[in-house]
Amino acid sequence: MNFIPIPLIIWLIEDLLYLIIFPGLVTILVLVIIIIWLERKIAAKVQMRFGPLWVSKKIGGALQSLADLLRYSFQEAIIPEKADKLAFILAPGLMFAFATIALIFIPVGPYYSALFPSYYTILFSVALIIITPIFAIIVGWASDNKFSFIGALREGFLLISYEVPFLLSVVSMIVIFRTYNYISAVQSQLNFLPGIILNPLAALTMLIVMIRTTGRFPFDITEADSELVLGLFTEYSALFFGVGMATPYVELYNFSLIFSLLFLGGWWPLNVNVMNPLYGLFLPGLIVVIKAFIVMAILVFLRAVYPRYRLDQAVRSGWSYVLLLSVLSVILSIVEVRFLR
Amino acid sequence: MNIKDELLKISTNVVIDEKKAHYKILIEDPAKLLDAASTLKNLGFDHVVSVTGVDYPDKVEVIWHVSSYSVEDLKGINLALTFSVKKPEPVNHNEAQGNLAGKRPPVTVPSLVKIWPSAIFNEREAFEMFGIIFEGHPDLRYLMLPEDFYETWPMRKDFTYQRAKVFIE
Amino acid sequence: MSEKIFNIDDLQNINVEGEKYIILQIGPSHPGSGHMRIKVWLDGDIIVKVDPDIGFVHRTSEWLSERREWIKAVPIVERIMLPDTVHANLAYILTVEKLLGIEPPPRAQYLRSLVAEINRITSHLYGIGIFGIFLGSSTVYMWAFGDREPFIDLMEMLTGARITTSYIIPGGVRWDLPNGFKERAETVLQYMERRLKDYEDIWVKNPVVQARTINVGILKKEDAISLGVVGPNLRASGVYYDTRKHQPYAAYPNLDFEIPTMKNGDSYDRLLIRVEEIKQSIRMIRQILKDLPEGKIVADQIYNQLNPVMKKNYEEKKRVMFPAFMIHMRPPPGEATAKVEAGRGEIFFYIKSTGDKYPYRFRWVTPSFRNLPFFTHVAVGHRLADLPTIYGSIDYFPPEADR
Repeated sequence: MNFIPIPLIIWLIEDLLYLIIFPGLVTILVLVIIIIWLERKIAAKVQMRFGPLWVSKKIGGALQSLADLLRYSFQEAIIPEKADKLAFILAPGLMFAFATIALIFIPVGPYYSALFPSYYTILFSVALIIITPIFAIIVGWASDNKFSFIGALREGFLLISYEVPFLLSVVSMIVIFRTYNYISAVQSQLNFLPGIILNPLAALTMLIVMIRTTGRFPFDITEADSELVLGLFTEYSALFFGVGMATPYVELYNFSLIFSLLFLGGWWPLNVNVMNPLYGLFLPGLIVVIKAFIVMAILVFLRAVYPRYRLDQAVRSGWSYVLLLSVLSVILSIVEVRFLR
Repeated sequence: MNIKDELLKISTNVVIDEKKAHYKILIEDPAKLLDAASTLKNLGFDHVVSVTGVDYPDKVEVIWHVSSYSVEDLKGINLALTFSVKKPEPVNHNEAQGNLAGKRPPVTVPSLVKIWPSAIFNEREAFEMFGIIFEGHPDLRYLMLPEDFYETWPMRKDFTYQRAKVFIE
Repeated sequence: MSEKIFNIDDLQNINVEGEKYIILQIGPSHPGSGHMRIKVWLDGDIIVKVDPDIGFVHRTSEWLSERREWIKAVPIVERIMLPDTVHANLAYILTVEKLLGIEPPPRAQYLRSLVAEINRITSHLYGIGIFGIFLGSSTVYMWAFGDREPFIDLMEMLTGARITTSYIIPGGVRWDLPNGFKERAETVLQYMERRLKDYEDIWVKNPVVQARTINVGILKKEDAISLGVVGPNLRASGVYYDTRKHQPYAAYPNLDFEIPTMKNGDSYDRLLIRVEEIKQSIRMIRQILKDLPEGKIVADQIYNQLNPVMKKNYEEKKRVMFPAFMIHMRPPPGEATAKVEAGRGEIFFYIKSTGDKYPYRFRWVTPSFRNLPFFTHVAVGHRLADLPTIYGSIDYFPPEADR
């Protein structure tokens, strides 16, 4: 043993820490459990009732989602006979995997990420996060059920309508910050102004696309309770169903991380110049995750306010209003770069 | 308009009891039924409230209760357009088959759906409960009863049902 | 969107052969169907034909009532029309009173109108709640069902039972107002008026609700008349007809109220009209409580039949117990009809008596049964997602349609 590759070991440890503990799998699971409970509690508070209170009464029923997860783990997994078995079994897991995988390219701190500093993190993470709804269509096709099929068709329509505005809003932020890289984007925001003030149109577009992709009200269309029994996941039971219900929240988490890095200033107000185990590594990450959690809580609150839109109304608005908003945001950012720098 | 005079022009058999809110006009000739219905519709009775059958031992009466939404004088009147038809003779079916339908055959009555579209679901219910076949109804099939009640005409007075015999050891 | 209503001949000519059409059975165990099956033929997302398959909760109320004593039909009829029990009770008793020839005293008439209006408010709140959950708004659902509770508590204070009260008997009513009822009712009415403002913000003025319901399920005035629909759906299409004004009963000739009508006949109008009717009912309850006349709560023919124990109960607890003759009532031979305006529409009764201890022919038609043509005629040409909108806006209640 001539030399021990210390940077490589440090990178490996940091990688594992990032992907598994914070802000990786363990954080995702804990946050998903908390946000599901929070959604039910917020809706209950608005609706003059208690919400989940039975499971762990002293802390307000916060372990309810954990109890649900345990219940799903022990249920009997029923697979319909005429379903496409390979797709039926694999698709929810793949959906979850691809929803989580975008995390590799999102750095939550200036020195804390899952890869060597890369110059193209924005592009990679956006590309990966767009892939997930394709597996939703496979989920809907795999179970031999007309309601799931109609849900898959709806998901296909909506996926296509809201993809272009999302990419255009990301492009407008790339134009403003002049970088393909989250860390430089946050650095520009720390020097100047947060992204939401620089380009509010792009922020609005991204919020709308977030609501659509994760199926929050008023865009709850693929899982429309009163028209399709449960949309895509009608025939699913046990852990397939649990994973399928948790995936939108994981997507929401990733989207919220991207949103808080691009628009809310990332780890503002910390201006980190020195590498220090506490300051440089964890604290910026903590701030970013907290901001993402606040965004998630706001979006999840919309369940108590709005009913759901109809499919053709959502598709039409995706191709007309939201597309217009995103094009205007690109124009706005071009104008800003030209005249304000 | 005097409702009694108008009704007497259509048929002679008219009963009016205002305290019981019972206005009845009785028709026994199938050929006259459609004319009577058209006349009533022109008078202002524009929708059917209910179609019911009344079962007597020798005849079946079909009553269309009509009322009006548009003519002010008629808005408070529930007119019973009654059509009485004799039950046909029981057809001789094979007793061993246990076919009850031959013993209690259905009656045939002209349908008034072309004149009053609001009678469409009511007539289906009268068909399945009393065994009244409405001629000219566009979609005459069972509405509420399941398949094992086909041709049993439950609301007739001679309807019986066998109790399931359960042995408890 | 289809502009015209299918007439009867078109029903036979809809061609649904071929693989182009998906048959969707929105069946009995479906979150958006109630206790019925709606068979829908879809061409992509457009509905081509709808066939409502009712009868899943057919409880043979007519057959049972023809084989039971006259007074025993009251619980049967009440439990079929569940959110609206008082109106079903009232309609049956009005018919029986016409056969018997008994007139209730004025105080009983006012009390009947009081419970009828309280029940109308709870029935409309039920309809608003179901409409909310069909569109996806669980907030309105929880609020509406929660706001029914003060009114149901009022009924419990008056009669002892929450929903199936069996309060109205031939000749009058069974209980008189307890002490503290008028103050409690005023508190409840003021609470409801405050809550109606919240409903305006989150339900009536919600942009998503307006986008889903405006110009959806339009039923024009001539078609509403010829299809024979009833209740607030009829008035939302512009027809000025209400049984409380045109075939008055109970205390309605003496009360001052308005009948709201709307112009367009789409689902948004049907939504608005129920909120307006709640306001009118609140106004009527205040008038009734102010103008309540004194006197007995049962007719003299019934009061004279009470034995001394029952009369003591009446004086002390203001409660009417059934005299023996009411169990074995034999109204004189004759036929009678009666109509009552329930929350959902008009209930119609036709009873024929031959002087026997059972009715000879017991026929009743409920408002939801008469609203069935909405499915076959109005939903055609709309998108699949409009079916719950139309279903929720007509306030269709399957158990009462099946009777």
